[in-house]
Order: sequence, then C-alpha cells, then structure tokens
Amino acid sequence: MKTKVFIMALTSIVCATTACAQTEKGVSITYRLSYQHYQEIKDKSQTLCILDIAGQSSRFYNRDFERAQEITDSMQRRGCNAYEIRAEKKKEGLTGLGESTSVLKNFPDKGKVTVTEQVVETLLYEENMPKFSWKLTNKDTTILGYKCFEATTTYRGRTWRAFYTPDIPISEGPWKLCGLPGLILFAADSLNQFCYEGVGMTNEVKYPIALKTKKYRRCSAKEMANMLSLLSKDLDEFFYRLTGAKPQHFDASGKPTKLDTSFTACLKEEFDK
Amino acid sequence: MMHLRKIFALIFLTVFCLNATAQTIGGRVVNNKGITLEGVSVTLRTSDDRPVAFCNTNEDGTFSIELPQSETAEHLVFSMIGYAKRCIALNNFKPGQDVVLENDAFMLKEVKVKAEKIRRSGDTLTYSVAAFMQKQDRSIADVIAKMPGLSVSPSGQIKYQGKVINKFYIEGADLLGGKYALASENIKANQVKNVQVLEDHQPVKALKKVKFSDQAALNIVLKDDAKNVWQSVVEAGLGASLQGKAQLLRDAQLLEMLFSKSKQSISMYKTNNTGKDIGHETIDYTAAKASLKADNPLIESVTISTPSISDQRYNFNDTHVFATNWLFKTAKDNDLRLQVNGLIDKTNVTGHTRKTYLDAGTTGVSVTEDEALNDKTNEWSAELTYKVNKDNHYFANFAKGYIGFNRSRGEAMLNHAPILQRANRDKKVLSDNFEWIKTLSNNNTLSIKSRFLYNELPSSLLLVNGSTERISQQKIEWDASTGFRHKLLGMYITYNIGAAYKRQKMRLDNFYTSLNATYTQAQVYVMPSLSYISPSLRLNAGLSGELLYRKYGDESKPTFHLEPFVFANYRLTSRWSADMLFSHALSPNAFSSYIEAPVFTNYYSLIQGKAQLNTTTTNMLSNTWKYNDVIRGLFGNLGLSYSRTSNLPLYESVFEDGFYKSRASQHTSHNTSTSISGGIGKSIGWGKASIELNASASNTKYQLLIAKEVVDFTRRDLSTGIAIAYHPWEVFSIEHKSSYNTSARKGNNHTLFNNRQSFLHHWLRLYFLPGKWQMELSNELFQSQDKSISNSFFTDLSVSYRQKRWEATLIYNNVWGTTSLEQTYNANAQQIYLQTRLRPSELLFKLSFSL
Repeated sequence: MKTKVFIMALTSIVCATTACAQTEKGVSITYRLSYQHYQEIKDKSQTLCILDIAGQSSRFYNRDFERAQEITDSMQRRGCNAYEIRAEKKKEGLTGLGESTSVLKNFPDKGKVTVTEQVVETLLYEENMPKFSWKLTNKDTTILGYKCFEATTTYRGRTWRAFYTPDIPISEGPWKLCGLPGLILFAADSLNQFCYEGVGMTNEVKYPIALKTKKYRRCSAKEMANMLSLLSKDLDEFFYRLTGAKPQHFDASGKPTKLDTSFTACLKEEFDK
Repeated sequence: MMHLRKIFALIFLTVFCLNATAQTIGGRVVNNKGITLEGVSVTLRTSDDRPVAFCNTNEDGTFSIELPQSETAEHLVFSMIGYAKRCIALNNFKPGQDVVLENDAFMLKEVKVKAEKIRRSGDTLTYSVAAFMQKQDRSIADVIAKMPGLSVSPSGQIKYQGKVINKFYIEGADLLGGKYALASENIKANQVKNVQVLEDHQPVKALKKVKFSDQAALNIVLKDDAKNVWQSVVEAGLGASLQGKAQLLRDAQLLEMLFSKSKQSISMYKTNNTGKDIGHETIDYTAAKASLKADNPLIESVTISTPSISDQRYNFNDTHVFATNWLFKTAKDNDLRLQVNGLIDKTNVTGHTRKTYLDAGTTGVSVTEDEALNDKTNEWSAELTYKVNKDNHYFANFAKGYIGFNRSRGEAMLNHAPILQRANRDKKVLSDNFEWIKTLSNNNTLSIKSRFLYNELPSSLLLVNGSTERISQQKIEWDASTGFRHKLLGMYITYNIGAAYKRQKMRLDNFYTSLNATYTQAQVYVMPSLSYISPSLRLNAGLSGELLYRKYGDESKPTFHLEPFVFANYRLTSRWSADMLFSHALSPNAFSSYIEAPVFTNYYSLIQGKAQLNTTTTNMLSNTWKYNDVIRGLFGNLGLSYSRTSNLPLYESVFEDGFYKSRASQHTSHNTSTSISGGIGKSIGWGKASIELNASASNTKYQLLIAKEVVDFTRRDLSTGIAIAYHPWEVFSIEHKSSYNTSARKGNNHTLFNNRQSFLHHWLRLYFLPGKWQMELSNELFQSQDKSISNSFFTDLSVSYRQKRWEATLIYNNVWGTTSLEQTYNANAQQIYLQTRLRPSELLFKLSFSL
C-alpha cells in the first residue's frame, strides 16, 4: 500500500513537473529594446524583451534581466559569492544597468495591469488598463514581413509612435502599449529614449502568465516612478526609503564619505510633465 | 414662448445636421453559433486597405465606429484571433446588422530571433562570434578582422575605430600584455563565444575618473568547453620546393593553452622555413608608452629594402620561436605574470637595389647593390609582472630582461664591385617599471612611479674598404616621480614632481678615429594637471615645467621649458563622439647627433654630428570623430592631424672616397605634416557579409640640403583600401581586398627629383567548403603604375579535410612560379628601385591534431 502511495505521489510530481516545463499555447513576440538610462548620458543599451500572450492576458519582460536572475539564483544555490556571480553574468554581457520592467496586462483580473520593477526588492503597482487615445496616421512600413501602419499617442509625459499590423489581430504591444487594431511591432517615444523593435515571433509561450515572485512591495505608479528617479539621483536616500537604514560610505582610510553620483533617470512614465 | 420653441427647434436641427455629417456605423458580431463575440477588432479601411478608424466589440458583441470626415472608407474589416477575417464593403453593410465570424485557427508566421551581432551595454560592445564567423575562419583573429569597427593588420596588430587597442584580455585577465598576437592567432574561433570591446579603456582602476584614454581594449569571452581544460595543438608539415634546387620545407608547432579562473597559460614552439612570419607573435604592441625606450645599435641591420607584398613570398627563413606565458591570479585583483620568449632565425636575403640619394649633389647619386646575405638572429626576453589593480589601490612592477645577437654575413656587388659584408649587432636590456597609487582620505590620491633602464649595444661592421668599425654603446636611464591628487571645484587636480637622469657612453673605433664619448642628461619637472569628467565631456589638461641640464664633452647647457597638453573627449549623441588632442613637446637631440667624428652606420655610409646641445620642438594637434550604430552594424571614424617639428638638424651629404658621407650643417629644418584618415565598416545582414573602406592622405613638407642650398620638398601620400567578406552559401565563401597607394614628391626648383609612384594591390580568395572539406583558391595581383615594371600575379591553392580532432592540409604555393618582383618607391631623401627574389613554387603537406 505504502509503495502504491509512493508511486502515485512520484507520478503526480513528475506529471506536475512536466506540465510546468511544457510550453503553453499562445504567441510570443521578441522585441529589441534600445534605451537610455540617464538624461545626462547619451549612451544607449540594448536588450531583448519578450511579450508572451496567452488568452486574454499577457506578460512583457526583459529576457536578459530574467536570465541574469536565473544565473544569480542558480549560483547562489551552489554557494557562489557575489564576485563569482558578477563575473559569470559579465561573460554573458548581462552586467549593464538593468531594465527590469515587467508588465502583466489583464492581470490579475481583466481590465487590470500589473507592473513590477526589480530595484533591490520587487516594487509592484496595479491599476486599470490604460485607455490610449491612438491617432492613426497614413504612414506604413513592413516589419518581420507584416504590413504595419503608424499610430501615435501620448501617455504619462511621453509621446509614442507605434507601428501595428492589422494582420495579427491582437490588441497588444510592448510594455503597457496596446489598444490598436493589431499587434504593435515597433514603438518609440518622441525623444527616442525608449525604442522597441519586433525581431522575432513564435506560436509558443515559454512561461505561464504570472508574477515571477511572490515577494514584492506594493506601491502606486507615481511612487514607483519616484523611487526609480531616486535610485539614480540619490542612492542613499533610495536605500533609506526602501530599508529604513541609511548606508554609510567610507574612503580608503576609513573616514565617512559621500557618494558623488547623481543622475536624472529616463523614466517611461513621467508624472511631473 | 412660441419664439423660444422655434429657437430650440432650430438649434436642435442644426446640431442634428452637424452630427449627421460625422457618420457612425454600428452593429453586432457573433460566431457561427450565434454567440456574441467580445473584443473583435473592427476597422474602417480605405481602398488601399489603410485603417482610418477602429474599435473593439463590447461584451454584448456590439460596436459603434465613427468615420472621420477627412477620410473616405471603403470597407469594414472584422478580425479576431481564432476566427477568419471578414471584410464587408461599406455599401453592403446595413446599420445594426449581425456580422458572423467563422472559426479559423490562427498561426503566426514564425520569425526566429537572429543572434544579435553586436550589442551595447554602457561602454562595452559585445560582438557575437557566431554572427561573424565564416566557415573558413580558423583563429579568432580571422573573425575579428570581419567585425565592423575592428581591423587586424598583417602583423597581428588590432585596431578599433582606427586606433590600436591598449589591452587584450582573455576572460578579463591580461595574460599576454602587448604580445597578444600569440593568443589572437592561436585561439580557435570556434572556442570563442564573444569578443568584447571596452571603449575608452583605462586599465588602472584607480585612474578611471582621472586619466582618460581614447584607446579601446578587447576582451575574449571563451565558450565553457574551452575553459578549465588544457588544450594542445600538435602540427607537423613537410614539403619541397618545385622550382630550381629542391629544398626540403618544414612547418611545425606545439601549442598548449589553459584558461581557468586562477591560472592562464599559453606556451608554444613553432618552427618553419616556408617564409611564413611567426616572429611577430611575440612582438609587444603596447610597450612603447609604458617603458623607457632602449637604444638600437647605430650600425644598421644588414637587410635590403622589401617590397609591399606579403613577406611570405620573399622571406627565405629558417625560424624557431619559443614562448611561454603564465598568469596566476593570487587574489581577486592581484596578478602574477611570467613571460619568456625566444626567437632563433636564419634568413637568406637576396636582391638587387638601386638607391638614388637626392641630397648627394645637384643631380643625386645612385648606388646599386646586389646582395646575397645570411642574417642570423638569436634573441631572448623574460618579463615578470606583479600587479594589484583595485579601485583605491594600484601597485605594479614590471621587470624585464632582453638579450639579442644579430650576425650578418654575405657578399655583395656595390656599383658592380664585389665586396664582403659582415655586421654584428648585439643588444642587452634590463628594465624595471614600478607604479604605486593609493587613495587616501577624502579621495585624495598619492602616487609614486619609477622607471629604470640599462642598455648595452656592442656592434661591429666590416666597411667597404676592408677595415672594421667597432662601436660599444651603453645607456643607463632612470625616471622617478611622485604625485598628489585632490578634488577641487568638481575637478581632480594632480601635482606631479619628478626627476630623470640619463647617461650614455660610446666607444668608437674605425679607420678614421678612435674615441670615447659620454653624454649626461638630468631633468627636474613639475606637472600640475586637471581632469574633469561629466557624462558628456572628459577633459585632461596639464602643463609641465622642465629644467633640463645636458653635458657632452666640454659642452654643457641648462634649459627651462614648458610643455602643455590638452585632451578632450565629447560624446555628442549615443552614436557620435569626438576627441581632440593638443601637445607641445621639446626633445633633446639624440646623443649620436653630437658626435663629430665619423660613425659608419652601414658598410658605405657614415654620419658626422655637431657638438651642439640642441633640441627639437614638436607641436601636435589632432581631432577624431567616431560614429557607431551597433544595431545596423555601422562604424565610422575620421581623423585629422597636424604636426610640426622644428629645429631639426640638417645634414650635408656627399659621395666621397666610395662612402656616402652626411655631416651636420649649420642649418636646421622643420617638418610639417598634415593628414586625414578615416574608415567605414559595415556588417550586412545577408551571407554574414561585411565591408570595410579606409583611406588616408598626408601632406608632408620638409627640407634637404643639396649643394649647400636648403631645398623645400613636399611629399603627398594617399592610400585607400576596400575589404569585403561574403559567405552566401554554406559551401562557398569569398574574401576580397584591394588597395591603392600613391606617393608624390615635389622639390622646389629641383624638378629632377619630382616623382610619383603608385601601385595597386588586389587579393581574391575563394573558398569551396563542401562538408568537412575546404578548398582555397587565393589570387594576388601586384600592379605598379610604373610602365617599365611588369605586374606580378600569384596563385596559391590549398585543400583541407577537417575532423573534430585533426586536420590534414595540402598547400601548393606560387602556382605560376613567379620568381621576382620589381618595385620603386619614394623615401624623403632617396628614390629606391628594388628587384626582389621570390620563393619558388612549393608543395607542403600538414597534419594538425587538437588534443
């Protein structure tokens, strides 16, 4: 009897594991994101982002950031130190200033959007899906073999230009952008600080549409923007607000000193404008 | 009241009429079972299918879409994932009607994400090797040469955006210093995952915000299976020449490499007599700036001028190269490195040269030489480096020893008269560089730097008259400085104080004279400098005040001078950046230029200096513009530079008693050079194609003393090139390179010396790559624009069969048996014609094993 119970338990574990490893039905779009970190530094970084769409919901995330997280988690489990983890990530080109935004649309409920940012801990806000007021123009182009048309909109301080394809009748797009009569395959803000360009698509979704972590700190969209801004402007204050403790810095001789880095972050959502 | 009703009715009618002009269309969407569909995309489209308005159906399947007045819509389109798209002409659509959508599975046209060829993360560019590697590529240098923005010279030197790199790291460790050709030409391309370019790289972490570099570094990221394992390559080749007297050929190598976290090593032994240059793999390409410079013997090497083709075609060598390099990571930021290199080479030099010396009389004097020489070199060097490179602490000590022997023996016909040639040139160098930087409280920094060099150069030369000249040169040089840095008004201010001492001795014996000469130079300097860094601008500026004391014989001279410099780098946008450099420097003339006694530098040339402690001054201004768009794989650079060197000693030359004699005159000259150079590299999506264009032009003004008259000369050089690599099919690949070089010299009132020399050089390599086979057909054409000189065409063939662990190759070089090559070119004071004997047709079979 005990053996039967054990075999059944084992079978159910194997089945569950297999189910988790299986790809889901849906579509997955890969975008190349070019982005600027700070207003003062004109250098741009590139990364690949994934938009997984399954049923009514979707998850948009930075593939490289999640890969870096996987490396960190796996190496930490093996007892590697921070230096070794950083070295391993550097080899894969994953040590740049991370763009960790993840956006879940129609999640947890229909009509809701959930946005997370990983800054020391995961910040999360949930709000109603934005109602973009898109203006269709007469420009068109071809992206990944699909005929695309241009539309523009303004959202939280930025003017976005997007190319969507009515041939893929999914009202989705990168980041929070959506609401057009077709999938958005290209989007860039008018300052060109953020640019998403579709570079690949498959008929499979690798991960379920869900939050990657259960540990997060809830906030509002504005609070998240303020925290991201503070992260660049005043790191000490940022830590203080997040952890309640002010980090102290010491120079080579052990005397207290201050960090002298202060930048203005480029934010996708500008509440002050 | 009646009036009011009429007015309301009028307003109502007006509003109704206005609304009526903006047409609204409504209806309901259901599936074939009559169930309403929510979220169906409804678009109004023009005749060319362009959407002009859209909406989505509500929960109850209804929709209402408004046609903008400015657009003319022709039809309505209903679409939703899982249903077939339905298009209805507006004329046929009845307001409020139900639109039925039929089930239909939707599948995306899948598009695979191509590996990103290049990606930028801050100031690091990561090139994917898989995206640039073509099937015929063997070493990582072959692939680097195809990466836009990067170039590799035939001698193995790597440049990024037209500037030589300052570091070559393997997995972040500096195993080889400047001798990186050893790695770039021996690490297999398929073992490397990425090549990273670290732009504007400052290797000393403690100087990152303070001292800026306009040079990039390269980091080789290996694949996992190439790490933590000893890798060996054993290669042996045998062959024979097929023309003239049969000669046995050999080409062999033993190579061993290890790249692990705590230790890296590359050791090799290579030997060949096939003409292939293997000596360059131990050349240090980055040493010049860091160390004090060792002198070279005044007696020149007994070699002949070489043509502008690959040395593999004319080099009759017998070379053995040995190198072992070890790096131990003793702690996180600490490295201990040992490098030992040896070169044993015996080269036969054969050729005919005609040199016309422009300054030896009003019509110049020509000298013809037919030489058959045997040049033997035996040189060994060892370097031990210990380095701690932390953000707030830097310590480095480089100790180096070098010993080299060069023996040349042979026969020559000088102006048709037979003579014997013999020259011995030995060189011994000991040097030590030490640097320590420590960040103190409040981020202030203290530094100490010391450089030391000892140099011995015994040499002898058989002269054309049968007598022997013996020269013994010796130099001891030391330079030490200390610096303090603090932050003021957002800038780093550094004060360096230092002292330098140099003593050079020479013992000279020839049939004219026998003498001992000593030159002493002492120097004290103070150099305040500032550094400013902002996200867009990096600025370095300084002013060095130097008190210089020199003594030669009875002559002594103290001088004081100021040397300013400014370096600025401005990042205009994410793609554009610009550099600017200005410097003014004063250099004491070389010790040898003070020796008034005749010193023979080759068997028929002597030079006599003037015992005047003069100095030359150099002003230099350069401006570089760089562009890179990593997404499109487009890189470009444009450099402009101007330099002027004044107070150069001017020599009066004459042919007398069978010798070409140059004596320092009372005159001095200046040299002005203006140049422009640029390049564009582009990676193209199809067939891993890449194209590179480069061009450089310079205009140099200088003077020669001809028959006691100072004559102005102008030399204009232009060089352009194109390189294309294309791999259209798995089984075929093509590489093409062409270059055009022209040089024109013009003398003021001396039209006799006006001359223009140009040549074109083309390479075309075709690779046929079925399965594990590789067939290479390599063609080279050298075209001189001088009609009296014939063109030279070469073809080489090779066939290889490659397995995972071994490779067999059959090589047939110089198929057409071209045996000589002619070329003429311009030097500042000479016109040179040369006829070089080339290697004959040769057949070689090689077997290579990877263990």
